[in-house]
Amino acid sequence: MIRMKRANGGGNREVALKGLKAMPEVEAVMPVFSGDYDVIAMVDAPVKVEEIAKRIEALEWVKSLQVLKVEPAAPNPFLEEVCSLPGGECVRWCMQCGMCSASCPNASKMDYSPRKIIALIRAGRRYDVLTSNSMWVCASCYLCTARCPKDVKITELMHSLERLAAQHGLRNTAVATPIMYEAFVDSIRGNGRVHEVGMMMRFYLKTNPFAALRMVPVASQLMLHRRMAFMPRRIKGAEQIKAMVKKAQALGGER
Amino acid sequence: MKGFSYFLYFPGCSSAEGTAVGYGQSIKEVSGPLGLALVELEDWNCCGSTPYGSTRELESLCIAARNLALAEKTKITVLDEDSKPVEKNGLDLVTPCSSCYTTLKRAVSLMRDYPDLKHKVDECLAAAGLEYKGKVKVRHLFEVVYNDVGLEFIKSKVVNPLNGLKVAAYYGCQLLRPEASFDNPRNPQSLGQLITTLGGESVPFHQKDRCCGSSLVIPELDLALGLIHEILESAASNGAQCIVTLCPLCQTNLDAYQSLVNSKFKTKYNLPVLFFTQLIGLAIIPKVFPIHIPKYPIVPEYLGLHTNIVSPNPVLEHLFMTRFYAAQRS
Amino acid sequence: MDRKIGVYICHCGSNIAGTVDVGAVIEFAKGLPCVAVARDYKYMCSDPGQELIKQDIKEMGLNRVVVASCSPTMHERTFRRVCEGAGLNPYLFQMANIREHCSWITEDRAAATEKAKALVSAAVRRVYYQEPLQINEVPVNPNTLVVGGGVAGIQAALEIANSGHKVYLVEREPSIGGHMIQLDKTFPTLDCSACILTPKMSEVGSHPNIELLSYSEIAEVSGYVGNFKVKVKRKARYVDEKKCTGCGRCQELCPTKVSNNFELGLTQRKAIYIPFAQAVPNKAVIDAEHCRHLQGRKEGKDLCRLCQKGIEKKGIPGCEAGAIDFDQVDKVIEIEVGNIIIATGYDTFDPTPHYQYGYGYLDNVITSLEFERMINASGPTGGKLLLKNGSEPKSVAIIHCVGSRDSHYHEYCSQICCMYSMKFSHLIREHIPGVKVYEFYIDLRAVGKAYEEFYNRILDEGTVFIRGRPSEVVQQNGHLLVKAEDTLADCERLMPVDMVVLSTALQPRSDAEEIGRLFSLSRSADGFFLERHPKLDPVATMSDGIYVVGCCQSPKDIPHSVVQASAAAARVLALIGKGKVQIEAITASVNEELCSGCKICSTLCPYNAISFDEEKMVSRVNEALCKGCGTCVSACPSGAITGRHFTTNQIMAEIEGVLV
Repeated sequence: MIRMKRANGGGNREVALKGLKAMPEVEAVMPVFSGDYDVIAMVDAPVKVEEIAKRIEALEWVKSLQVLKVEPAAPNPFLEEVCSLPGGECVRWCMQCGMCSASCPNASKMDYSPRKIIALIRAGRRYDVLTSNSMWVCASCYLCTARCPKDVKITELMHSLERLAAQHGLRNTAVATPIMYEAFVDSIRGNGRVHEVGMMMRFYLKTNPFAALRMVPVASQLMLHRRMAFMPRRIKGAEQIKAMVKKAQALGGER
Repeated sequence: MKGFSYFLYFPGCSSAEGTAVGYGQSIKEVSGPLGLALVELEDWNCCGSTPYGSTRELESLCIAARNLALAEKTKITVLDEDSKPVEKNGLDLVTPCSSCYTTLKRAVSLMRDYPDLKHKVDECLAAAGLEYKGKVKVRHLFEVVYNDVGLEFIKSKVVNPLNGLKVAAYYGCQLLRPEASFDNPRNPQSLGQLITTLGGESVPFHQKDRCCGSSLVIPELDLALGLIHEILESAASNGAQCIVTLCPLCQTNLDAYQSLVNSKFKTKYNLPVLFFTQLIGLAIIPKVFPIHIPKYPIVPEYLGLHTNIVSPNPVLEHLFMTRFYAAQRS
Repeated sequence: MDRKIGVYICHCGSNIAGTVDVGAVIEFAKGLPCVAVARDYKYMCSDPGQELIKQDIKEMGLNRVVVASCSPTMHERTFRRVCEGAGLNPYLFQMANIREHCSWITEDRAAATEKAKALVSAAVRRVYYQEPLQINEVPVNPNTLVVGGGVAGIQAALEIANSGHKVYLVEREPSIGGHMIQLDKTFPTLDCSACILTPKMSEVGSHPNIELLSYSEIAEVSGYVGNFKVKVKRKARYVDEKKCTGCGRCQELCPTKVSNNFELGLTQRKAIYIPFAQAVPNKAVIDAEHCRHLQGRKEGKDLCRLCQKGIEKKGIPGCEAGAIDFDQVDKVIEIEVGNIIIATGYDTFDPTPHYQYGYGYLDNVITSLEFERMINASGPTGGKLLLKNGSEPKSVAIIHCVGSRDSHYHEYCSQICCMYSMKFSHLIREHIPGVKVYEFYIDLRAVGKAYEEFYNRILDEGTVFIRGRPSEVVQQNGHLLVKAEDTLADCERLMPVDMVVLSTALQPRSDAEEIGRLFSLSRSADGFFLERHPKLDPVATMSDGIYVVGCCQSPKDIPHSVVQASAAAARVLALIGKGKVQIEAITASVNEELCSGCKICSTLCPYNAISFDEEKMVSRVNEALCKGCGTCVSACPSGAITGRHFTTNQIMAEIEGVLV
């Protein structure tokens, strides 16, 4: 929690609140109407609170600032949000045994192992969880889900976190996976089928065209063995797809 | 088993015209002999797979549900034993791709367990003029072959036994996880039993149900290559002459990327990766192979074998040349 | 008829009054027919509440009482006693449940009040037709049956026998001792398990009041509290217990080797064997399935008999006491007891289905009980912890919670594994200096007396604790690799060890269902036998006179088993001391004039309480066995059977009260 006092003549309260809300690490901002301080900002990345405080201090309207390492007194909004997703309530059942992390083939590449992700959700660390690369490195092998002794659906949780990250605007930018997923989705929206070649081209163009060079031996073999469809196929019901997508987006896209 | 069993067939993008066309072809060629009438679902669309579900929830369910709605309303007319036309509907939806299987099954169970969600999906389907009542059963082709066709029947149809070919049975992740509708998810045996039924030897294979990396092979190539390497190592170190799979993504990863694994890890793997339908086809289709010349360079264009990148020649040689050599000796 | 009904409505603090408008119900009750007085009080079951009722009965001459409060399971007995104390027959009382059936299931005040009124009206109408019933008493047989000779059964048997009463101790195996005799040392004192148990076993074997029926099983149980008839099948030992001296010559001579169950298959025994060195009774027994002579006899052959004949050529005699008797047969004896204590113990979880841990296909992965036998000086390796290749391990990993706390096997915690796992690390260190021991745990449960201090000792000795449940055990380069996430250090651990010990769960015996059926015992969701009340009555069961003690009721350590056994013994002795027990008066009775002798009732009775009088050609209910379930009442085509306290008039009146 960071509380601050505005400088005299330092712009009106609304501007200050807006400026703070624009910072992605800030989870909640509250004006204070009595006492020494004007504004309280709740930061849900406690590891970085000092750094965030420095950035806030540099703002011209801040006269004085105090950092308190106290947790928000309100119930954990991020945990509530995750638990409200259908199937998300299983996060509460976890006993932190680590079976999922020990089973995950990609855990070593994750910022936070699956078990740790659940622990962080329960600690309300929204920013850290949603900006991590953990869910994007999940291969959906379901070993964690199959072995979990408390029936926590970790793979589903990972996919839900991918969606939440997008919703909160906190997607990890170091991983290329989201871009591939978007290319995949665009292909389906347009044609009702995935045109693999088109999707890969779009992906490499958006990320790193030179990475495509490494794939040349693979691509050429696939081509020689007639496994590359160069022309996209369009289904007859492509309009139906478009109508459904439009309706789903109108309904809010999420559950 | 008399007559044919009818199923609605959902090939999935890979098997239809993508990287797994060989799979699609081999399925067409063996389904008849196995007594399976696979009627392709008309105008099916991509199931959405992991990428769609990871970015948009409701939309991805709609995408999957369109296929379920189409399957539900599909009626086919067949001729029965007395050549009278009979209408069939309510057929099971069968897919050969583990990812499509998981995605469609997930859509079915989410809509069954969360009525509010189903309500929203119904609205979206209605916007496209479709409806889904929740009556479709989704099955994997391998499970249909194992349970509906049965190993006994397949054994009776074997004309080219595999001659003890050492095969590593690779199940992949999504056939038996998160929920196994058959077999033992912790120590699966079914694919191994199929191999034995066809006359091959199923080698012990610790990585048999571990991840190949699936679609992560594109954005996280090195990560996926590490996983593929472990699978190939496990198969090779147990003496496997080839690997058999039941998912197009697994096959592509293990087959097409084997050369990249070799260059990254300085290994020399040369393991043909076959689809289980290709293996069945080799064993039950009474084709006379014109291989009289050892090291026959061109792979025949049947059962999609010409699409396998790591050449399946060693397998073909084992199957047919052993008999040829034996005939020569006697 | 001159009925004076008193109605009492309880507030139960705010449990009832918070939702039900008690005042309105009182006013309503006053208007019901034959209601002489209607009162309310905060806690009817309390002393002043009870006094209220007693006073009214005495002063106003009430002859029927209705209390509208909680469930009869809670306080029917209480209020019946109140009536009795005031001189009113306890069966002239009826309870209306306006708590569990009313105030606790809704927040709608209006609806709750309406329902409360309906329930009170039903109770008032019903009680009008209730008749005084006679409570009978039957004497209690002072003998007791204890089923199972593990530490709990032994303790219970000794407690009762020492008070001067007779105990039958039935044990399925040829010797008593249960699982405790298989253990090496016990935590936290590290007492040698056999050393502390064998004196008790010996006491049981020689106690004048204990009849030890070993190698026996229960065949049939009938009767009721104070008067059980039990058929016990005494399996043939083919050895005369009176003559056998336990010298062991026979097992040396026997040529047939069989897997030794006591040693968990780690070694073999002979077809004729003495179970273990300290067995009680210390007599030989022949395993008929594997004895060459007994199997050959089926085909008319006379094979072997080396144990009996000896080897003449070498001048080695057979059994010198002449105790071998191949003509023995299984015998069924009938015993009569007043109380039964079930102490059948537990089975250990077989980790084979938990495929990732390698049990059954990887070398040097063993279970906890296998470890106990190996480390035990009298075990198959003479107390040495050995790998398959015969050498001692330089590093051992102990994995906690195998089969416990797992939705795929058993959801419960087996309570003792953390303690025995820590004990293992101490024992391993004692036997192999310089060994490295790793404990992979999720939570450490060291809750008993001196248990936390034991944990401190283990920490001090240098055992490494890693908090993380391993995902798998694989074999690589001759080592076993244990893979886990160290959740505290936040990193992956891949630990090469020589041996892995799996701390397996305790689970109900495989024949628990059969035992349950024999004794009419229910089981809780975890499969163990169900106690009467988990907090306040963990030894009694729903069947009066039958008690469950030890691990057959839930996993527990030895002190708790002993305590539970002593508790059950105390209850049994209390009943024996009282000498008689009251029989519930709610039973069925046959009107012999109306009975047509069709026998439909006796075939339906689940308690075998109805007999047929061949002379008079009528059925008769044994009121001591009858549980008042009402099956015969509804089945009788002539309407000849009355269910006392549940007559047609009473039931119809109750229904009217609710509807009108």
